[in-house]
Amino acid sequence: MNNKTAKNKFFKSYEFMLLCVVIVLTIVLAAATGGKSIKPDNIIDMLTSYSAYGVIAVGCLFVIISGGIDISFMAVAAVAQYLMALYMLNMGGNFVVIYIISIGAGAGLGLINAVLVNRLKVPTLIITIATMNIIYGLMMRFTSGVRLHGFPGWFSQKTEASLLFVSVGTLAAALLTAWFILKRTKMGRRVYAVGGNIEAAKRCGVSVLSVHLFVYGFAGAAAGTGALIKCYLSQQASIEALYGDEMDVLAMVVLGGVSLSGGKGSVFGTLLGIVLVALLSNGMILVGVSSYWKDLVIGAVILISFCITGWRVLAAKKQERKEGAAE
Amino acid sequence: MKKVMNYENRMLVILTAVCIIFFTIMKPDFLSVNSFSSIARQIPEIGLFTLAMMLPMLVGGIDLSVIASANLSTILMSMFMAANIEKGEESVPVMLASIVICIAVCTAVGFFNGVIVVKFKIPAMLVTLGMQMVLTGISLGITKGGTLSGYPQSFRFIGNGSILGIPAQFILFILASAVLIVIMQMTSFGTKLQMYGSNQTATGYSGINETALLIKTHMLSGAYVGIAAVIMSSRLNSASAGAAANYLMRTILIAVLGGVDPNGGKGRVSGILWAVVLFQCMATGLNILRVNSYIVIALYGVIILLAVIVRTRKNN
Repeated sequence: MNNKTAKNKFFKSYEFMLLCVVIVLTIVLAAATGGKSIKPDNIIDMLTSYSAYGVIAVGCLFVIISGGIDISFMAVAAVAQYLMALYMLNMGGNFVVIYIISIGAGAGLGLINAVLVNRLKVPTLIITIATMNIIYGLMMRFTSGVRLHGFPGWFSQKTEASLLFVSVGTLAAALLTAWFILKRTKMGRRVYAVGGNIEAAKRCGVSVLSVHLFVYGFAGAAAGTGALIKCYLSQQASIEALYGDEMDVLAMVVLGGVSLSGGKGSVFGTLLGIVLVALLSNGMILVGVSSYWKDLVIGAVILISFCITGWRVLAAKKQERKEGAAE
Repeated sequence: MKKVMNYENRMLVILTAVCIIFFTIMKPDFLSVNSFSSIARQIPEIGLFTLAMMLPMLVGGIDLSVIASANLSTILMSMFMAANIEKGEESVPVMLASIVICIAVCTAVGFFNGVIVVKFKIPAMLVTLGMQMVLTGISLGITKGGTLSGYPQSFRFIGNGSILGIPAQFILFILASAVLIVIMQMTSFGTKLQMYGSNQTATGYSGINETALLIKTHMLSGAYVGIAAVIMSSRLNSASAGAAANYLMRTILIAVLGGVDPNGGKGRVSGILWAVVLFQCMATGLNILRVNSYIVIALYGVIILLAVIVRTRKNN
């Protein structure tokens, strides 16, 4: 019985709907491109190129579940990427060191966001707009936007396997870590609690500061990791490569079905969101739609998904009320 | 008079004075007709965009689609004008019609924002973020990333001409602000708007039509975006998908500086007016001092944080 209701719940969930959309879209794209879109080469290309933003999206998921939003992540990623690249150019190092540097730099900047969000009683959007501009402005002032390239051999000589490991492997690790934290640790449950009802969470003795520190720190660390992947793929560190692409990442998380006011969202949903954005962008290129229309398509998909989510919530409430009245 | 000069506005005026004195000491050129006429030309656009931003913020929302909406509407306006007026000719009726189109497009965008926000109960921030992508996407698709330019002389007058020595757009701005002050203070709509922002549940129970109120708020905001778009496009003599991208953050900065509470409820037009004067004096001053433009961006971020910190302290 219990098992059956759980199954029913899954079939009615947003994630299931999204999964159907992804499958249908894959079939349609495969038909439209004569099978080009499902060739292994294309799939691997797609996965590697979207894994950087995917990792960043996983970090964003935490922030949105906790009831906030962070749009400073690309500026944070740019800083992490620059520090990592500078270290490689001057000191050499190896993969472990640069992972630590980029994660550490990202997490550090994330913690600043966390303290500000915790102390100031204004929407997180406004705070992160401010920090985004501060970080970006200082970054551009001190680097003049110069691109860094010419990295040591261990970083620049890519093989098929290392490429997959750094990009898709990191994404998989990020997804698994996120899933574990959200579902299996106390901190994960606290993140949901703070997003669902911050007052109630406080009364239950949850330290909101620690949740904020964790969430924004994690988002920063994810941004730093994404920056590393991006740097590995393009073999250069540049601010423009990241800054300004905030919407692509937010689209992944939002399409993944986070509750739009906090308290809900799942790693599986975000994974589907990542796949959907990747499919749409990649599919449009294969079908030959001008890239100028990309924003329109993704934006429209987002707005439609909002309407469907909102409509489902309202319909469920109505149903509840009806059942309540019948009883 | 007492109402116009409350504590917050007095602080803004004092800060503006400090700002002017500081820049004059650093660079005596600052105190010239040139810089003040440039300030007067810059204020209307950014001021109108900020007023458009303030309205959704008063009901606890935000509108991130203002600039995208302005760009799309100016592109459509420019195409309409190009299609109906031969190069080098003037036609006042066509010009007026195209201005109406521009404002109507923005109002329609506001309408859709409002409908999605209120009908599907989705935070305005996310709706307008999606809307911004859609609008920018349409603009990019139409223009292929290019710029449409070349308006008739009579249209360029709006953003470049002056009447009795006062820039034309400044007069428009004063009129539009006066209308908004009247709406906010003398109509029941204005009262409801502020009530709704300070306590949504109570307002709902007092029998106010929430749906109509929110849709109207977003439409009014859209109309102000439209006016700002006309002025901006006329001043630049062009329209493109990427114009004025850096205005979005500035409007939020000015709104916060002008005492609008991002959580809703608090905020007045007079505060915005003083804040926009302060902001533009500062921006022009920094420009005259040749401060690195990226440092200026960082500085704006710092100012947002400072304004928020001061306000949080005061409320405690």
